[in-house]
Amino acid sequence: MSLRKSIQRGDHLIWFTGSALGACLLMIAGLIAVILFNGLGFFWPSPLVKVTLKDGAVFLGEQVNREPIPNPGHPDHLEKHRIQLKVGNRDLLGFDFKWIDEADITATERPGGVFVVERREYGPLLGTPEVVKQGDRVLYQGADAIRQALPLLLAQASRDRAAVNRIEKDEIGAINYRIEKGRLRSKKIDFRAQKEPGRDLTAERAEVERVTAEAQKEYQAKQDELARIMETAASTSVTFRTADGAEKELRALDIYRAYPANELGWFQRLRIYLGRLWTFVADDPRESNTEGGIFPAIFGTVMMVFIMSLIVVPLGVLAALYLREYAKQGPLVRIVRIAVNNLAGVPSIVFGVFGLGFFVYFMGGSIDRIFFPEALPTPTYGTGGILWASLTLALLTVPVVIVASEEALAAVPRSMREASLAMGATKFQTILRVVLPAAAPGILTGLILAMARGAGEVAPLMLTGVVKLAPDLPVDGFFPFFHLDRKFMHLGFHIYDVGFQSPNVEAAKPMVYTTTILLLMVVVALNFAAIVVRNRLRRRYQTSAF
Amino acid sequence: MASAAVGIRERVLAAGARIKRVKRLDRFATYAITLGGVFIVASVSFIFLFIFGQAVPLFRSAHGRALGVMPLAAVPPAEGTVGPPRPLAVGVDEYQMYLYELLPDARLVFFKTQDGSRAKEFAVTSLAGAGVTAASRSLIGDFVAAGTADGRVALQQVRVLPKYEAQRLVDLDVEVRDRGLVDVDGAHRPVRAVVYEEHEGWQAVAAQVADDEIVLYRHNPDESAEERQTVRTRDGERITAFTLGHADTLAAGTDKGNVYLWELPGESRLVHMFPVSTQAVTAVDYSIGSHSLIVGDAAGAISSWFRVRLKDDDPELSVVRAHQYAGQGQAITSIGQSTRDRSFVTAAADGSLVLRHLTSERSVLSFPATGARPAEALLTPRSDGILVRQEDGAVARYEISSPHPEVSWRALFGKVWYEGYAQPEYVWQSTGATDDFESKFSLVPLVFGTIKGTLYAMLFAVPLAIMAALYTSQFAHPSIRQRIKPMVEIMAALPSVVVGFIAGLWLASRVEMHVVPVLLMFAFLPAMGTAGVLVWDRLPHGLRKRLKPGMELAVIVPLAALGAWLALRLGPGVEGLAFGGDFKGWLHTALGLVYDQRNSLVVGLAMGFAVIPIIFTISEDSFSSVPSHLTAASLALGASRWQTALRVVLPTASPGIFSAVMVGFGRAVGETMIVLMATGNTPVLDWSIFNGMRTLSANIAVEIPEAPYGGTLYRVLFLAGGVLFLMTFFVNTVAELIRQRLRERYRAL
Repeated sequence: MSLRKSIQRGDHLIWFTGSALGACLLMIAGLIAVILFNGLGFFWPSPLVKVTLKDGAVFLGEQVNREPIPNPGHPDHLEKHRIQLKVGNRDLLGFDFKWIDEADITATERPGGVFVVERREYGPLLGTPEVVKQGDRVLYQGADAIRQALPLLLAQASRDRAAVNRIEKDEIGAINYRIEKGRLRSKKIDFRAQKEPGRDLTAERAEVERVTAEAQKEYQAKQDELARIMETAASTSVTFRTADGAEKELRALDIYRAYPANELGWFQRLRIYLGRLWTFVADDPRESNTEGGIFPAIFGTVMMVFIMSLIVVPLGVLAALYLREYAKQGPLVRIVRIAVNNLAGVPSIVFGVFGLGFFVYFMGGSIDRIFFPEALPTPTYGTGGILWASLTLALLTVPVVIVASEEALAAVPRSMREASLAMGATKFQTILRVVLPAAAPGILTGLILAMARGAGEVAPLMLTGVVKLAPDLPVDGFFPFFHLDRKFMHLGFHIYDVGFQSPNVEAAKPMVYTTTILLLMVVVALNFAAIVVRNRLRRRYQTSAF
Repeated sequence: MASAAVGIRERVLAAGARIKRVKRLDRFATYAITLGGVFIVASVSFIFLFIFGQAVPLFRSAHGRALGVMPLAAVPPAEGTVGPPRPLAVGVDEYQMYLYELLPDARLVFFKTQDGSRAKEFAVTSLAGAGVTAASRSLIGDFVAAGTADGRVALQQVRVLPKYEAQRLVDLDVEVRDRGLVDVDGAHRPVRAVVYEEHEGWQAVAAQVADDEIVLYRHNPDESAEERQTVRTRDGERITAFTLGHADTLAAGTDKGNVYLWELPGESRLVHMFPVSTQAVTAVDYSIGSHSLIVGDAAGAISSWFRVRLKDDDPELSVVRAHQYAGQGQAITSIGQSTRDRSFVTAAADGSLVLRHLTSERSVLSFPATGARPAEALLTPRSDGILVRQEDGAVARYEISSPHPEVSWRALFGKVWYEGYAQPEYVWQSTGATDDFESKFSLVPLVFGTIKGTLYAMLFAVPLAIMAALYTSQFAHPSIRQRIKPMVEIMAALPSVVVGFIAGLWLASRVEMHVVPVLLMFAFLPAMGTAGVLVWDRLPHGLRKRLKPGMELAVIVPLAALGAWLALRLGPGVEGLAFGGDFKGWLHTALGLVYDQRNSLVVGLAMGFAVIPIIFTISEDSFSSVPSHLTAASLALGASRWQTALRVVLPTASPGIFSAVMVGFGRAVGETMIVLMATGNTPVLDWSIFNGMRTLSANIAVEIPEAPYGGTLYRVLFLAGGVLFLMTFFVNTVAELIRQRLRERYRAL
């Protein structure tokens, strides 16, 4: 086959269109690769390098980046390279990252004995442990002794932290909750006193005061207990020496993890990797979301999608049943169907605007005025919350469910309905016992797609209740257990917030990539599930039809 | 037997009852489902109504009513005078609980507005009983000046402190502070009119003592600086009205229709003298912020002026007339300013009042003539009322509600001359750092940004998606097709926040570093892919046999990747040859363009990436549903695969492609997170691909969390949301109708 002939036939143009598809595929692959590459490596404990510069400055850190130096207009444009070290020690240096021109480096080595210390504040500390003290008493001295003692020390610190956390968050939290309730009750009594001036409310008032006083007393007791624990727990400290010779004393209580980065085997590295991964998934965030975990965001996302599903399924199925089974098919229903279809294409931010105006300000405001007047002007429901966010997302995704359910209902073979009706079943019985079960997989597909869309939406949530840091989960141990008025965290918003609003974007970036992987996994898994269910469904109808 | 019969009858009855029950249930279900369905469908349309309903109050006119002359308790005349004293200045507190009057006998009398009873009285002690000939009250801070017949001015400040009981305002504590007594005129002429302002530590008093002469006194207690000056008009023009701006400029209007502007600090300097009207100027006043000077004349014409540098290299500021307002027919006697926004009220000699807004030029509210000549009109501090001190000494009160005076169709969509701008412009800047900020609510830059972002995204996405769809449906091997579709569907499900994050934090900096290679890629990628046709024929025989027709992708993807890599490698060389090694520098010097890191190129790529799947899916559907007998006929007649695709498939499916593009357009218009993260969000009017933009959707996301409920910004953002809704809903409906017609046509073929 000659080239001229294939060009005559237009084969090169076929290849041209093929390149468009190729470019699309490359872009998808590129995006996934960028996310995986940047996100998966973050928890891997890389070795530390120590570089000495021409001017004698010494930097110790993990190399995280290497790039050509742009110098437009000069012959060395993009020829030379620089490396980026994660040097940590923000409290001592004032920065976490340092770009170093390779040309300035005189020596590079991998020193032994240096530890990466994850701590409560200021990002990681990189240095060599020198001495462990309890108060003024030296417990351990010298690298080997400390290295042996460190696991025990950290385990103790972890236990102490858990104890402190239990008292601070759970127990004192519970007491605070009671005090707050008492405050609201006394305000409520004030309210009633105004409305019914004749009524004697002294007994109720005394009761509230008694309960509050009791809670106050307990609060004091817990505070004392906390102080006692802190006294012993906080006395142990480890002193580190950094690469540039500075000393830093850390309370053992504040150390979350420490490992000698340059003396780890593969297995140990893997263990640290998994440990950090677990921390990431299961812990609360620290340091304005740039460290620690993202558990509240995962929880918030799941909870919101869950509430949304609870709302969206009945709404969507009911509307689909009406449109497909009960409404008289005609131009009006056709218009409605098109409108519903197109609602899926309306920008999500518009739904957010609606949610803010209608749910938050109108409905929330009304609920506050009627049921929670004692808390005003602090809004209870009249501000963004998980309920309003879920409702907004339910509105956003209801077209998806309607369309999918309608298709599923339409796909149920006529013969099945007719058989049911011929046996004397009413229309409702037929729908309930025959049509809906047959259509269930299709409805499920719609629901899964709705969940996938809901999980990935961020813009409407920003207006209806998502926050960068929510102190409490929407579910806890206090009656009524589900606090639908609470604000919540969300994986997608977390990405936006940490990546773009965080004070320390550079340090937070890898975390954002990891969060992205998590969100992608959720969304892709849901979509994949929908595709599988749909394919199964198709096959089933292909065999069973007529 | 009998019992059996009874059993049967009972059973029949029971069955009948059961059937009845079932039927009742069925009927009930019919009603319930119909009701529920209708309700859900109705609530969908409710979304639309609600959003627009929130924006409607913007365009509703303000309302108000005249409460008439206030029934104030009679004040006993001072010794030696007859008749009730006529106040020279009036003021009111923020809650409109107390009204105060400065009387000619140097008394400040406070009345309760509720019943007009006299509540308190303070004598201006520093004047020691001397009579007052002129008085004034400042807009901000309630500084009251009282000028005497012997050229002195007593300075006072009225202060009110709210008193709360159980978190409810019950009363105000009123006090009057003495701010000094100034001997402004060395010649001790009577003060005809006086203005007193305090701003940033400076006290400034201006007093007219002759037809063409104003004496000035400025004092800063902290710096113990004191300035005394005298200014005169030229040729003895008579000063008819004057005002102070920020305690450092003096503006005076004359009977010849001129306005004089003096800068006061140090040695006073006449900086401008400009004609305003052929008639005498009768009222001048600075609006809040002391930028815009509002001037009213004897014929009732009203205009506003401010000083601005017209060109960057102008050494001096020029005075420009930024706005003109509908005239009132009668001489303007007084202008009263709002302390909250740029509303002002103008009072004409016949007693008619018009509430206007400086920026929007709207006449928000008018009250008909009363016949009584107003001496002074003022807006209450919360802009919820107007007080008019009439020449006859009575005070008339009006109640007004004008929540959104700054919005008009012109302000939203037209060019407006904002303070400090050299010419009328489209500007969106809803909030500023200071209280006296002039809000700029032009939606034009946002609509422009939306269109710009969408356009660049579509430029990138449409050819790519349609060609990819054409290839997938017409040329690709079925096994490839089966894999591509789910992949693209998953691409469609990628949360936009992820795409935006990658675009903003990863892509933007990479593109900035390698602009030329990225631009080269647009040529290299398809070129290399197309070059595959050369490779194809030369592939080893064994491999060729394994790759059936339609498996070109296996060659294209590596080649395209190679193209991308080549572009990256060759980019610096091309940059060196064509742009002197510095593309951004070349952009700046040759085209005058500035390169932003987060620009339209990045947004186009990212948003294009986000809309490709939707365009691809719809186009692919309409390509593949072209009836196969058409393509078969074409191929049988000897047309090649490409000819068939181009001449038969593409025209037949073209309505479907159009609707795919429309749906993609709708998606791009409303995309929020990508634009939010991948642009600088600056509302500029500039087509450059290397600049950013701000879209309607991103603007809503950025500003609505800070917008106070029910405020103007809140409603304007709802309007923007409604516009977005309408746009996308319309586009999608058109696309859907086209698709449905196409489907019917295919059925007919």
